[in-house]
Amino acid sequence: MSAASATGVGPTSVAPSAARRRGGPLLRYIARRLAYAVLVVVAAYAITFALLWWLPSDPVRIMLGGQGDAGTVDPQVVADLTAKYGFDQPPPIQFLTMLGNALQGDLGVSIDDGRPVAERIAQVLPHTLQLGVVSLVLGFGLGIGIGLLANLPRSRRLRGLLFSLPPLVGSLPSFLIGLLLIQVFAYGLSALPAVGNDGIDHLILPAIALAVPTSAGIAQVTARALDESVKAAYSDYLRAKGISRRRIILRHSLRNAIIPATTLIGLSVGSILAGAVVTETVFTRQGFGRLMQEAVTQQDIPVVQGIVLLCALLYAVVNLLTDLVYPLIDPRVTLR
Amino acid sequence: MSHDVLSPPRPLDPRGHGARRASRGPRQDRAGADAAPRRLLAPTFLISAAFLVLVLLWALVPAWFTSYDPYQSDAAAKLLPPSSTHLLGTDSLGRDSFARLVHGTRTTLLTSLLALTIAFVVSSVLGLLAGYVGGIVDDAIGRVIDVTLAVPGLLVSLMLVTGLGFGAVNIAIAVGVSSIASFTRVMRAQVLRVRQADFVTAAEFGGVRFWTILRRHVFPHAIAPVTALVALEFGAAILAISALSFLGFGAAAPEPEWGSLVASGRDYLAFAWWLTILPGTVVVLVVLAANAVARQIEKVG
Repeated sequence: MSAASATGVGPTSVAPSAARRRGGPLLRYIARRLAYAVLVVVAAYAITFALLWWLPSDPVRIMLGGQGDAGTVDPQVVADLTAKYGFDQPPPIQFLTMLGNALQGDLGVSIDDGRPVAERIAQVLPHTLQLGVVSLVLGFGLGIGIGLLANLPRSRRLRGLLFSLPPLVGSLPSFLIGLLLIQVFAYGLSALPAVGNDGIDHLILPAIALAVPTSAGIAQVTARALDESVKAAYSDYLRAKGISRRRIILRHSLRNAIIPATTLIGLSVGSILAGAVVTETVFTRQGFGRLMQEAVTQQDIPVVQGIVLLCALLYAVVNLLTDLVYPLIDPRVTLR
Repeated sequence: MSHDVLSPPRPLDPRGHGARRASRGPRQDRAGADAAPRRLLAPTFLISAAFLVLVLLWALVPAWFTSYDPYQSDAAAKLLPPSSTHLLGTDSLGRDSFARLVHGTRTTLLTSLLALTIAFVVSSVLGLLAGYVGGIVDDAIGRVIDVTLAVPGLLVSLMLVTGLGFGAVNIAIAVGVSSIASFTRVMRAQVLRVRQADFVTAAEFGGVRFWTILRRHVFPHAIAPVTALVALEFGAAILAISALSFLGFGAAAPEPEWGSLVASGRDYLAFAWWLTILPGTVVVLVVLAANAVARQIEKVG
């Protein structure tokens, strides 16, 4: 990123060419966003370090907890483990070593089965990515659809009812949505399988379970934005020209109302990643959500840390992309 | 009505009585005073409040509502469907599901309350410092909050549970800490607003001590919107707590708790759906009721 800012136009550069004048601010904007994303990920890693390794608890004791009574453990084993994980070093050194290893793709070794954390995560990641992408698309479609539907009817009462739907859905615990879906579609109608993860039919129910809570937030924002945009002056003007309410919403307001929804992409990715922990447990699907659940159950600190780092990384990348795409969607936004 | 028109709009009162009106103009203030009694009688609010009182009574005196022992298993009454003798049916050990729900209320409510208290206290201190001191303190707190918000709350909670271990108190701490960030944001914004007031400047020039200014002058005025947020977050805390105990990190096995009730019924979903769906529905109803009451507090307050 320092390379990018070096090529950007600084205040001291003399008589920049037209091309550089156009390219400069964009590069600087990208560089700043990129630097911020890197900062967020490193800082998130620092927080995982503080919470997981540095907390009042003793990580060595936790690691040995699963393998037998702590009292019976040979002090030599404790000393070896302490040295192996570098706990005899001061915390800042421990953190820098860990960060250095993480940058090289080494996230440590799982306490549970001794395999590298990166390998364990990489093994289950495709399942979650597949599920996540499908539910993100589904969630946005559903959310914008409901937001649109809530504004279309003429009846004020019907609109009020549709407006109150998303907050209601937002109050449903995610595990209950999954269990209800299983109960109705898998056991009740025998239409779809309840558990497992091969094939498209195994993807449908978990994807819906993850998409529903995501869509609630998007529907709320879209519905409100549409409502505001329908009340805007340009809508009155179109109305006076004799264009129907429906046409104004579909042709003119929708384009404006989708902009606030795009800012929710980053947040939605976060909520889908967190929701995967519950949903994959409910549907007994493989994926890093379930890996997380198992890792926490076994207090497998390196695995938990690796997964959180991955989430922070995904969040940062998605937000970076949103920031970069945003000016293209909304021309009023200028790069700064 | 007439006295409302005659009385001048109340300014920010250094003693704290005017705190809630601080953010509103005089016109809204009058409208609020007029509408308040009618809103309190709104059916949604009444039903929600009544339901919450009922749930509170479950927590305080569970024995009033069920004669069954939540731990007493009955081999002859396994997995019975809901009936007049067993309102929500019985589980795989023949324990009355309604009794377990009612007796589990106390754990769930206390855990949520503890989580909210932790979030509220810590974020009040952080928000006051960030908003009032400003400068490098504000930057430091702000950055940490930004980063914390980059990791979803549930994952922060799970990390804390990994470090602290399992149990009702630990998941309360985990949920509490994970909601500090969003609380602090609101508190900071409020403090920034109050800090501009003349009475704060007057107190500063009058030589009032730093912590006294924060405690007596800034805090009471900044608190109102945060209170509404607390009510709203109560529902969110119950959801987070029940999700964590659903995942198996909450109160230990025989002790009833809402999330673990749902989780333990999961294996029997195919032929005893009531064990999961009915307690789950109660969780939803409590969250909805809490949200309705929160909205009312926001409107009336």
